[in-house]
Amino acid sequence: MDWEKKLGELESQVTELLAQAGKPEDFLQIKQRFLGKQGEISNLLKGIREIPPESRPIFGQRVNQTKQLLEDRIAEAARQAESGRAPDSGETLDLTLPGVWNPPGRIHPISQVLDEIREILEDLGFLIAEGPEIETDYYNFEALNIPKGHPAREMQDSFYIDEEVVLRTQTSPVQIRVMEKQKPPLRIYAPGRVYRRDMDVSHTPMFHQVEGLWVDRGITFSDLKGVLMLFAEQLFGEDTPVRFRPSFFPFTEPSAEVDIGCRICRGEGCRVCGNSGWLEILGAGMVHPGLFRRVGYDPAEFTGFAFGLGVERIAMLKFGINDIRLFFENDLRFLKQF
Amino acid sequence: MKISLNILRKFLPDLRKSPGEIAEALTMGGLEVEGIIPVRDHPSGVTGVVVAQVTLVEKHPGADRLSVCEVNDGQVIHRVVCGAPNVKAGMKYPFARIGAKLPAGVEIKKAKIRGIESSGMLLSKAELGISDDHSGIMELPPDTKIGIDFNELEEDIDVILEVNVTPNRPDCLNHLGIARELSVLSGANFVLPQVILNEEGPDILESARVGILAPEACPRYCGRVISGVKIGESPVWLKEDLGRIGQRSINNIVDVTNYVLFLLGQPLHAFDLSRIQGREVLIRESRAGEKLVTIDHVERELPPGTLMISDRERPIALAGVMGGAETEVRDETREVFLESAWFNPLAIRQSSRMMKLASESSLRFARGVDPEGVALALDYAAMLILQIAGGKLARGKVDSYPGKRPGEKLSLDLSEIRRVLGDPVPSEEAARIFTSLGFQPEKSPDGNRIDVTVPSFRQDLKEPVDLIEEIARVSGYGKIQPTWPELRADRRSLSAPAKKSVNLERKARDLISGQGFAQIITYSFISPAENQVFTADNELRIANPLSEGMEVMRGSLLPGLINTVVHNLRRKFNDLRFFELGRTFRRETGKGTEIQETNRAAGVIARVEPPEGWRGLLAREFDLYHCKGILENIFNGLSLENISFQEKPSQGFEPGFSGRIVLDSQLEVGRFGRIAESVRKKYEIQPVVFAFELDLDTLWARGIHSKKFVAFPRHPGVEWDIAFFVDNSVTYDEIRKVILQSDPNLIKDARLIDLYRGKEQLAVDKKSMAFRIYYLSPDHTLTDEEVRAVHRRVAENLHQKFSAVIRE
Repeated sequence: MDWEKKLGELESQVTELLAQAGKPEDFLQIKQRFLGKQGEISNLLKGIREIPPESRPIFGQRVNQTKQLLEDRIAEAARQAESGRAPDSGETLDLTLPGVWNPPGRIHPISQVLDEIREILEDLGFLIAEGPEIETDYYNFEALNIPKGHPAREMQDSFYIDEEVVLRTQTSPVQIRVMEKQKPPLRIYAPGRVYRRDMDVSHTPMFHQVEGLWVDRGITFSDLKGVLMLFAEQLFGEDTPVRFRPSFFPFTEPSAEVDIGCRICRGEGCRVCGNSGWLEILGAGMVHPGLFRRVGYDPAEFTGFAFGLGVERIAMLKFGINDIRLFFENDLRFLKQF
Repeated sequence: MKISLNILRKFLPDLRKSPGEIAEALTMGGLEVEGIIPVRDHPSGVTGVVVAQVTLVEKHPGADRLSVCEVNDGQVIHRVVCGAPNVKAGMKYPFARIGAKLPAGVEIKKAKIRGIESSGMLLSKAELGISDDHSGIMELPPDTKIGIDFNELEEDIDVILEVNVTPNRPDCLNHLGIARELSVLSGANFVLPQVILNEEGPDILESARVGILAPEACPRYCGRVISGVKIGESPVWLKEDLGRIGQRSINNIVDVTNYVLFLLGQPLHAFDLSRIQGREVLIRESRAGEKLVTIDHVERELPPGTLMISDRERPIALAGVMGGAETEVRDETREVFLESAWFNPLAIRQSSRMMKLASESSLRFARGVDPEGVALALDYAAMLILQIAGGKLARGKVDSYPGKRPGEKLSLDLSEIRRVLGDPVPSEEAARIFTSLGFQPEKSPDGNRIDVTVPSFRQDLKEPVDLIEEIARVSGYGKIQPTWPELRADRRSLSAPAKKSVNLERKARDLISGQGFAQIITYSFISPAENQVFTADNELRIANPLSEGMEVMRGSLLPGLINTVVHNLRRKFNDLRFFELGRTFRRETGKGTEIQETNRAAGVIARVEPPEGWRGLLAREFDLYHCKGILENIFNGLSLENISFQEKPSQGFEPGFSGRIVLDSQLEVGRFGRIAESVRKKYEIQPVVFAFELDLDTLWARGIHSKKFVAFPRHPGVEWDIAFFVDNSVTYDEIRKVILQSDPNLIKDARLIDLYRGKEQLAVDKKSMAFRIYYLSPDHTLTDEEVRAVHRRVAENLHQKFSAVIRE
């Protein structure tokens, strides 16, 4: 049974040598010495004739097993050494060491919030619609009850390409485009970039909006309240207080702004909510009959509600971001946090 | 819009609500209060004044109007003589101890008044310099602490509400309008201010004449003349009131016109009458070539047809927008012509836009002021001027009103309320709300309708649905019960084309971010110079860019990505992978103003040095094949086969290290490669940068096939390697094809596992390659002999086709 002893010896020799090895040449040398064509294992196999025939199968099996084992060990040790470190032994295990860094993918926080909004709206049966970012004056203003010279144009200082072509100031023109093509019932939402000439801690010349529109027979302001309450609860948590207050948009009547209870002070009043205890999250209203007439719907037959929100605003509230410009600076110290 | 509660209370004498409650009522009625700002202006230069309580009041033995009081200032009881009618035992007042200093350097000393020594003084607001009010001493709330310094007193002199007035409610751009709304919303009584005028001067017709030559643009014009005024500083109360609502004091006359503007909403203008040629005021449209120097001392050319005020000879004011410098009120002015008019909103918007000039006046005229409020504002202002600047008011006023119109009538079908709001509102409730709003409702005989007359100050009400909003608003949105409409599935809208592309875009996003990329969002507008780096397309300029560097709509996503690399390199990040999804823009050539928007995905990778960690290093530097590998993962994930990468130069990329991405061997869907050396220099970027940009619209238009499962045999295959030398010019793709075609049945795959060139034993024009070939039979386990035969054929084919020299 000399060969069995020999195999054991080979094994411990390899272990010993591997412990001292570091450079790639070392591993190559060890491999050649033990596993090469003239190596220890091959030499051992050449001695098969001296083994009694009945032991030969066992002998073959064992030698091959050892060969495999040594191969694995050398390879593993070489790999370890290549990554700059000797194999970690049990005693030195330190689980507080950081894991090996892999480049992580990051989804922009605006994109994440858009996903969330999208999912809620799709669960509520809204389907996505899109429109151009560069719009005609007609779709961006005229069709939305904002004729030239209307004071509401002042609400949104716009970028122009020429007199008739404007960077859309809102996603609302998508409403008109969809209604022109499709008859009710209609349940759509339109996310996208919008542009206004403004820049400070709470304004950037470009930001994202999501527009929603539901038109059918018998749609009421009560429905608007119900649907938007669900939406706000889904977005901010089921115990979020929601309130509706009158406002003005040229394309809705009655118009409303929707507030949620301030998440910072829980309604007590703080700097974030301007001491009011409430935070505005979206604008909404019953579609103005003028829009229906313009797209050929009969306002006596159909009613509908529309709503719009700024994605950056929602993201700022959700994440506690205080400067909107951070979204477009794309500093990794910012992006890494989401 | 800043609203002072003190001023508001002039209209609502019985308003008892706290500032918070007032703000809540306005906000829930559609006038959002964005801020409640207490005014706690402490008097300047006051020391030694404390809060004290009067404990005893007795008549002064030597004077009927004086009292002798005992005053507790928290330390001792003082005996003080006081002349104020409102002094009462038990009340608290500001008290000046001996040695206290008051504004204007007054020091309080011990004094004997009618024989009784007074050791201190109880103070009025006027004495403290807070206001002009010296009708009595200043009463402090009962819970004020005795003995504390007056300067530490937290007493609100006034509270300012920041009200966000929506563009449809110009009637609320003043205190009267807000008060009227608050009266409707809170039930407090609303009273108009009293005007009592003494017309002591000559008849106005002797002093000035007015002619409206543009009645369309000026439906009403009123004026008054006051002579003998003395121009000077405004009294403290007027300065303070103006200051609190954000206005600067100029002189007493101008301050009055400003004050009335913010009080009643009517813009006024005061002319120096002696400078009006011929004492004739004409309202007309300008003629070509006319000019006017406005009060900001800018000479302005008036475009023909601009509505303006002129005298007999020349323009003297830009009607409703700004007065002229020549006729403005100045120190030596003695005779004032006061204008109060109603100009057509369209006319004012036009001049404001054409002249690029806006003012508090033009803002209000453009939105619409109350034509019926014109005369009241004029009279109110005249009364204040007489009070403050003296002078005599001419008898009578000019009131030319060619455009008087009856109140608009609207009729509301009561069933519409329910159809729009969902909740029924009883007709009595609707009528009550309309009455409170001054709409004079009348129910139709059948009880199905309510007719209303719209008040002159509510020009925003045009349709029955506007009346429904009034009902909802006044009764409160909170009262309307939420409901949830039924959802009906709709196949037609489910197949919206946007749905498909948005889903695919999200998939692309996940495929890119899954490879370690951080998503960024950059502005859609960049500088023309940046745009030219990556595209030769016609640039799309913004007519009114926000700033330099934002002049054109981007023709490529790459400038934004490169800028992000630069930004983060400066912040010492050294392993950068960014991507952006978004649209690019260009003007379609030959199609006039047609604008093309394209959805794209673009990414960029750069590495300064491998990131160091305790386990050692990642790959040293990115190269072209990293970039290609990323793209291959994207296309695989999208099940896009038939993608090829072709060497072809592209703007901004390094020739010879970049190419185009081609689908189905003809459709160009993107570009990729190393960013040109020149671009890196320009941006001062150290490391090599690789980038790609894909045209998603073209990809989605071609259609993405769903994935198909291919069955695989259950028995194992084998891998045999083959290594050879071959000419450099032979491509990987050509070789791989020959290998695979050597036996399409048995050869399932061939992977490149080694490639080198330029080593010692190798000729310069040769390279060494090794492939690992995967052999598999669909129906049995292959024997060595079978594989050897095919493997030999591979070798022969490679030798034949490419003169490859097979290595042992």
